[in-house]
Amino acid sequence: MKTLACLLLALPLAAQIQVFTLQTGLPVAAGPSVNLGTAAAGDIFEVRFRAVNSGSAPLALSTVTVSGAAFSLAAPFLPITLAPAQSHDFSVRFAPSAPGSYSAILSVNTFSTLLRAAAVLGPALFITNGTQTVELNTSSLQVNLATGQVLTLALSAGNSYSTPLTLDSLSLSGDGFALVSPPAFPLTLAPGETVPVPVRVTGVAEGESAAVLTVGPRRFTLYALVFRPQLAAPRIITGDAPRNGQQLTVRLQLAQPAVGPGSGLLRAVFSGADDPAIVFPNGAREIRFDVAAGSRDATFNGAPETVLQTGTTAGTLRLEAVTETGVTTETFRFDRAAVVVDSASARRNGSNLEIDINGFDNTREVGSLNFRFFDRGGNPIGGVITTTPAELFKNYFAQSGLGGVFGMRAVFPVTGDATIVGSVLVEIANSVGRTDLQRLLFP
Amino acid sequence: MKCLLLVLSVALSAQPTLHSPPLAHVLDGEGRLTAIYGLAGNFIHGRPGPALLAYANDGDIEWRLEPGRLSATRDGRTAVYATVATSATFHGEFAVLPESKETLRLVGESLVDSSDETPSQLAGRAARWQAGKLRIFQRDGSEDEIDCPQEPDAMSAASADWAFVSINRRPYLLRLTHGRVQLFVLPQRSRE
Repeated sequence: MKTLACLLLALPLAAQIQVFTLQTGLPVAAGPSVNLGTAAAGDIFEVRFRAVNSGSAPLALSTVTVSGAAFSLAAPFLPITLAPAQSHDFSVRFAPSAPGSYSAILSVNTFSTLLRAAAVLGPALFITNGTQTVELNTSSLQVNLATGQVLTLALSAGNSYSTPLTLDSLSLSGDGFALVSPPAFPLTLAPGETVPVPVRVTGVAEGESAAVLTVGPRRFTLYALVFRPQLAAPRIITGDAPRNGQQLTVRLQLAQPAVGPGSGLLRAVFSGADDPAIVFPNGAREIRFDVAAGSRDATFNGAPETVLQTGTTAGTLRLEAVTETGVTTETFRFDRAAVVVDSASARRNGSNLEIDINGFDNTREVGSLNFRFFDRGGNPIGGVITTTPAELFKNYFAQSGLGGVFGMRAVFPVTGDATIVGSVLVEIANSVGRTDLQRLLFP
Repeated sequence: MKCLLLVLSVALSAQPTLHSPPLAHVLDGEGRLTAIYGLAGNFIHGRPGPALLAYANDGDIEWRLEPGRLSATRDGRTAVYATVATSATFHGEFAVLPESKETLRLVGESLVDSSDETPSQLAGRAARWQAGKLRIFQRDGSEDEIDCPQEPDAMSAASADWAFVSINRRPYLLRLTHGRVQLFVLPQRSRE
């Protein structure tokens, strides 16, 4: 019983308050006085404090006050109870309106300390955007930029007073922020004079970052909100009038320069009979494109354009430029057309006359072939020889796997004197029309 | 007249045959011998064949460099030369092995050492790049010239009328036919 009474009496005594400053970020026990440093007249400067219950019993934190000209609490205090080891943070605001020395009493329950601070004339900070220069009236500035983007803030420090102003230091701390060609300090600004202090901001990673720019007695907090850039869908530009049997050059261009780097896919969608030749250089029907920050033009593996093989089959080709914000499309129709011949030749092979023709039929419906032979003097030999190999071509196209491409050899066995034949005219017809080849000469 | 009638009587019975001969043969990105089908600008890869160290085919001679051997095939007959070379360039009937500084010439059915000056041949033509232009000197003395902003890294014959060209390590096929010389992108083999 005696022991219990002693314990009950000891508990209130164990509860006690300790006050720390957080000026440097780390808690430092506050003594009889705390020097808050120097601020520029007209600025608002806040210092965080921490009240900690360092006892072993709950503690009622009933009083936090600050009294003194230019000092105040940053937020109203409401009494709370702190459990053992629990803490409560609060900020003291120093807002001097004129240069001079200032002091105040900070009271936390029974603890009190003398706060001291000084105010001096500070420089004005300006930001220039294009031709417009404005003074920053607040002590912070936020910029929004995309990942990978680099912005240079055209800041400058100036003397708005009628007497020279000496600045002793310039510093910037914070990831992604850097001073660009800073002037040498200390320096003295004549009345009305300004000095550039450009700051480069790099969007390193998505999210928020901050830096403190110190110019003499003034401190500015620079915030960067870094966002992932979203690429607008670009315009599709083709080099030629798209048709079958070509390598179509394709470029992509944005309406406006990209805010940040981005990428997307260029896709070819073909409606028609299968044609394996319709591919981009990567051998696929879609290819990645990239756009660098500040650029309007897409690149394909570093090249400013890509090509698409258009195949040899009639149908509809749709190009889609896909980004995360949308899709732009261009559609091209490859109408059914007469046979296109890429190369043709005639030769004698022993007693045979051979005619080789390579080309494509985008209808895959070659219906007839006409041959008309001529002697070396250009006189026709007999009439037109017609064959109707429709079934042969149909079977060939069904199993070739080459789209509308064909290679044809017509062999004419000759038992007489084949050397009298000098040339041949060939016509190939499909359901759309007839293709006349140039006269083929037998060497 | 009698001859003409004879020709016609036979010709009337002729029928065409259809075939799909490859346009060219190249080594793909993995060094495997691959036939290229289709037409100019609409290329389709055949199935990849054996992996080779170097290859050229000008329609007359097919050169293959494989680990341990160099071979040249003409008219169905193959000459073989044992070598540890890992690279080679081919110029008509000449093969140059830069590592051993050997030049071999296909003579008949043999590959023999040669001290002859190696001709600058590309499927029977000569090719020269200068100041953004690629000039092809044809067999008949005629010339063709096309724009080619970057100097090719390598060129080798891929058939009688086509050459494989690497520019900035990207593959192209160059049509060598006089009057129709043109450079085409050679797409990669489609992913299966």
